[in-house]
Amino acid sequence: MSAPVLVLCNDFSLAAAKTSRHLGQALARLGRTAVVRDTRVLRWACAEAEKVSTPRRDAYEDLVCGKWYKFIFDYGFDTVLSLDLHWLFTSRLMADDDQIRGIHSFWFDDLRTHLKSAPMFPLSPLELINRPKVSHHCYGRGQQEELRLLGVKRVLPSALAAPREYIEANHPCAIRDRIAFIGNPGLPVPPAARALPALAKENLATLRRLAREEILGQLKAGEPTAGWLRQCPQVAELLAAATELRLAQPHTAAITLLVEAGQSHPDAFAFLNRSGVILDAALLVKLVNRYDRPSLVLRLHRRGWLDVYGTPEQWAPYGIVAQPTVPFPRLAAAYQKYAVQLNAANCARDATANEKLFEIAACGRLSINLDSPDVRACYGDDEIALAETDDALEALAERLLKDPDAALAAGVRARQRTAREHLWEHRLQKALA
Amino acid sequence: MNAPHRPSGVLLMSNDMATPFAKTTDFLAAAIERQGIAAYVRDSADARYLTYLFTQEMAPALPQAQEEVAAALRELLAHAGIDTVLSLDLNWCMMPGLFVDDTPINRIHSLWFDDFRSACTSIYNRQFPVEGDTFQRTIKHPKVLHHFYGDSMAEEARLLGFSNQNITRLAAPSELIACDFPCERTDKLVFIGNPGFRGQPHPEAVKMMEAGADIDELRTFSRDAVLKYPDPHTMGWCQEEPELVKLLGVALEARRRFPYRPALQILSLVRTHCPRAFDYANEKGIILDLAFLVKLVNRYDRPAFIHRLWKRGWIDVYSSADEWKHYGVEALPYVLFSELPKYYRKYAAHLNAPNSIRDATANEKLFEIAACGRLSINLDSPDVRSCYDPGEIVLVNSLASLEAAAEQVLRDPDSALTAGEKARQCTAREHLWDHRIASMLPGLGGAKNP
Repeated sequence: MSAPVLVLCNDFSLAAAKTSRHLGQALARLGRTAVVRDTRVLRWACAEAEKVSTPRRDAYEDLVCGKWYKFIFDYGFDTVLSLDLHWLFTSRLMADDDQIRGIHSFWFDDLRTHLKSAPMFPLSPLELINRPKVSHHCYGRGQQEELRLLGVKRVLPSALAAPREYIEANHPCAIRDRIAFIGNPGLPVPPAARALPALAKENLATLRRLAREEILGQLKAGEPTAGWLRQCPQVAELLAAATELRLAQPHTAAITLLVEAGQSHPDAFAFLNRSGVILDAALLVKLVNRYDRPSLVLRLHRRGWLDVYGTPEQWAPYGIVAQPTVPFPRLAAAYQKYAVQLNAANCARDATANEKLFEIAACGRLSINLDSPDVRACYGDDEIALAETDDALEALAERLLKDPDAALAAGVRARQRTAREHLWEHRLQKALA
Repeated sequence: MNAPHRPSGVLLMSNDMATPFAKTTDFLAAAIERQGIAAYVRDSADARYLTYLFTQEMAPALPQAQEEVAAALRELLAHAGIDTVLSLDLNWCMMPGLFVDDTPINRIHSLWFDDFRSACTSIYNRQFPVEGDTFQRTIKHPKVLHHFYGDSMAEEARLLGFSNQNITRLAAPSELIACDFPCERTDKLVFIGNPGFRGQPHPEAVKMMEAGADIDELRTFSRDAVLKYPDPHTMGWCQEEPELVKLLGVALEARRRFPYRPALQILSLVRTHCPRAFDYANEKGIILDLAFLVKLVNRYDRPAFIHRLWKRGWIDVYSSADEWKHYGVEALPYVLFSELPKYYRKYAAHLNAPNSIRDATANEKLFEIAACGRLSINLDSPDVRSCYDPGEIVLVNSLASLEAAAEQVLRDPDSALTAGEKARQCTAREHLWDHRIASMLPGLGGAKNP
């Protein structure tokens, strides 16, 4: 019997709670005992205590670490695994513990979002996450590149995956004349007022240009970007150049584009780097794609072809009446209810082969995606539907609605491929080898 | 009549400050997953620590802390489609309203592991402050079903007013059934565990063990010791209400004669003889403390069991050396949970004895040893007898018969291994967590073979 594996999640991201459970199940199927635990409450508490007094926070850290130390020792864990850095909440555990031989971060989010949304006891993340026993598994080339440029070591490619239970799910396909989209618009903030009419009639290329104008137009209007410009006015030119590059290369890592643009604007790049805001600048570059997902959803919704499931309040500003969020246990049934699903990446992450790509395929259904190197690397043309543009995507959707049997046949092929190559077991086998 | 509703998702609340609780919670979760139901284990310890953190200058923010903890769990309930909560003891109970007032939750299962008094007084089980009878109302809410692993434990709970209850024995994790570590020691038996009761033994009791006293004599000594060497609390109560001495005297003697009768039941029966003392204890809220004193009649059962074979050089003891040294037993190091199967399998036969504090004798180790295909020698009690037949485990009534049984095992370890194999088969058929889950949760229609 091998030593158990500790899987840490953070329920602040409930999608991570779902995937952490899937990781635990996959480990069990590989003969490893998995123990899943959450860190949300302690992260919240350490941030609250920090606001009041350092000794209070330190005392809380002592209690929490004492508990975790004993827990890790008693269980005899030798491996820790998590999405993002959910394993990292204090500098006093895991990384320096001889008992723990391997720590694996499966990146789900981007580093900036993770660090902003997951408070920790005081530590130096870069030093800790670069310990030799820590491996970072990235699901997108852009994500990988971003981590590398930030100085993260042991960055390995590892696509996301699907849980085996979806391969075994067998719910009927009840709706063949409509497509489904399950998810939120991506960014939790409503679209700019100017973007709404454009979303109703413009294509993706135009919307990306519009998003770029919004980004550049707001640089002086709000903080922290106005502050950057006050200190280094050339930042505006750097961002203009990087976002221009993003228009031409929408799937290239934002940080790579910043580096490239930085060659012509070295002072501005050095300023952003020195100020520790390079990830914030990268996010602005990524926002060029901010309307990708909502525009694809709107386009099919306008034609009356699409049912949308997600947070109704987030879809309302787009004029879409969404059906309620699908809880985890009903996801497989919701995927299988439709012959075709629309899939679109979250613009905040420089990675397009999202978890849904694999989950839809595992459920034996066809997904329509924007073409990107990441997605293409996982499935063939006869397993998923890929479109270069939104016009092409619309045409593809129309064809599929006319021939749902062909869509279902492609879904079966996608499911077979997933069972062979894209389950969490496959990822974990490679990571833990 | 509608078919029972199969849970769509189960939240298991652990308390990782105590690893045995965490370990069993994880076994339960694995058994639930094997039934095809999503199980989410969440630890309550970090939240319980907030009751310490949010004192003094942070006290005004305590309601905010409660809200945060509740929000974290309620969001998980909603997204994961959880309709059932399960925990050992009251690990699910952290603050008023949580789970009992949540509409999606149909049922809360408290699977009792500890006794009620220990669960409520343990420093590990801090709760957010509550007022009045909120705690009682919460734990006796109609949604809450309490499961007790011992008949006496259930009786104790009934006397405490828990009407919504079932007998659900403890069990073994299915992974133990498959483990096949070799049996390396047939020349010694083994005991893995602590002496049970944390306090130091009375030197006279240890002397009696050295002199070969049997279990009845030790119970008699314990009976007398409670009143002869009372702790300061007991002394104070007896000064306030002298009739308490009589009440305790009768109850302690009853426990000596009926060592597996629930302590609380004995106290209730004795009430007719000493009503004033009983009413005093009831009004003062010390009934459970008195029950604890009554249970102490059995406090040397476990140490005497181990000591007897230790003296003969027939046993290896693993666990807290500091606690065993008071009995003159040199214990080997603590066994990590991950190594327990290896150690269970390493020896042909184990000693097993319940913790005297709990009015229940069929402890988890009984099932775990059996799942590993090894023989356990136990004190004979109705709970244990209801789980296994004599061909599968050994039951003894005295230290003399224990010694004889141990000698037999050492002389014929093959028979011990054969009996262990029978115990394993019985466990695989009836005593896995999967079986308990199948009977606890509705709509499962019997356990799937793990």
